[in-house]
Amino acid sequence: MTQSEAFDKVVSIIGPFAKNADALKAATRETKILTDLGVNSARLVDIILAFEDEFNIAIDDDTADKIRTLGDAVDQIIALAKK
Amino acid sequence: MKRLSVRLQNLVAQVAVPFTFGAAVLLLRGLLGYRWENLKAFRAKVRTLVDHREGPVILCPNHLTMIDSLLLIWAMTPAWRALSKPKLFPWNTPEKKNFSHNAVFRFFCYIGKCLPVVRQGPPRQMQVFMDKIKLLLAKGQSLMMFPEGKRSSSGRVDTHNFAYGIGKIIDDVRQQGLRPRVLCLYLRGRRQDGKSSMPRRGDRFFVDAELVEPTTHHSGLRAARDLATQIVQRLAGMEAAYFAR
Repeated sequence: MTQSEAFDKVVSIIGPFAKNADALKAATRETKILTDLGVNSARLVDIILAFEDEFNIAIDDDTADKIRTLGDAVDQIIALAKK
Repeated sequence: MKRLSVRLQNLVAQVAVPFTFGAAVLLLRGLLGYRWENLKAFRAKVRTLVDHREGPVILCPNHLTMIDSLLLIWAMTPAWRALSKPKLFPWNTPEKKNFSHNAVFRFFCYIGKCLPVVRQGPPRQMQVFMDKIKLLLAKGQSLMMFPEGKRSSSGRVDTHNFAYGIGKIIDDVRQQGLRPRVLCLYLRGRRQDGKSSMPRRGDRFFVDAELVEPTTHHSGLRAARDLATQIVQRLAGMEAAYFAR
């Protein structure tokens, strides 16, 4: 799985939870999930669990806490998928 | 240090019960004119569900106004019983920024058994908070937390957009070998349509309680979601029963 493929999947998973559609369209690796995309913090758990289902990985609490931007999500997913 | 600070707060809060409850009832009943529809029956039900059983209890109310926890503490027990039964005077977890700017609020929060929380705070700060909660529950105390995580914007229990924090706490506590019971509480003023800062002056309140023992075969975040969902669904069921009356 390439960075680009993972990024596209991450964006599509977060899409339904993002309140800021414009920011989602212009999303980059530096886009912050909560503040830029307007995702409700309570929905982060749903997003993490959706990552687990989509990429067949297990994300522990410490790893989840490190995910702030789309790039963080992609990096953690790729690292976990390689294990 | 955590253990000492929590025990000290518990001691001060218990000693201050007559003052705390007296001030609360004076404010709520005397100044704001609030009344209950079914207070005796509710208190008897709470005693049956909570007081006569061992182990920690987590109280999970619906959330419509800023003073829901104060109303529920008044409803659950008279002051004299709270003196001898600390479990009937639950700990609360208000957002720190809502009261920390005012010394009077801080004082009342301290004697009102409040553990301030910074939502989305640094992991280390959250860990200290969680350790305090686990310590209290391990001692068989009770804790009140709003499972929706915020006041219901529609005026009805939000079964789609709620926080999973309560599920995480229950899951963490279960991993310590504790089996906390969850008392779902449904509170509503007869003139309460949607969410508000305060109930209307002179409102009459309905309140009910149901015991839940949520279970899950999941772990981690899935367990938190599963447990929180069961609690919020039960609250929604209690709300449906209220409106069907």
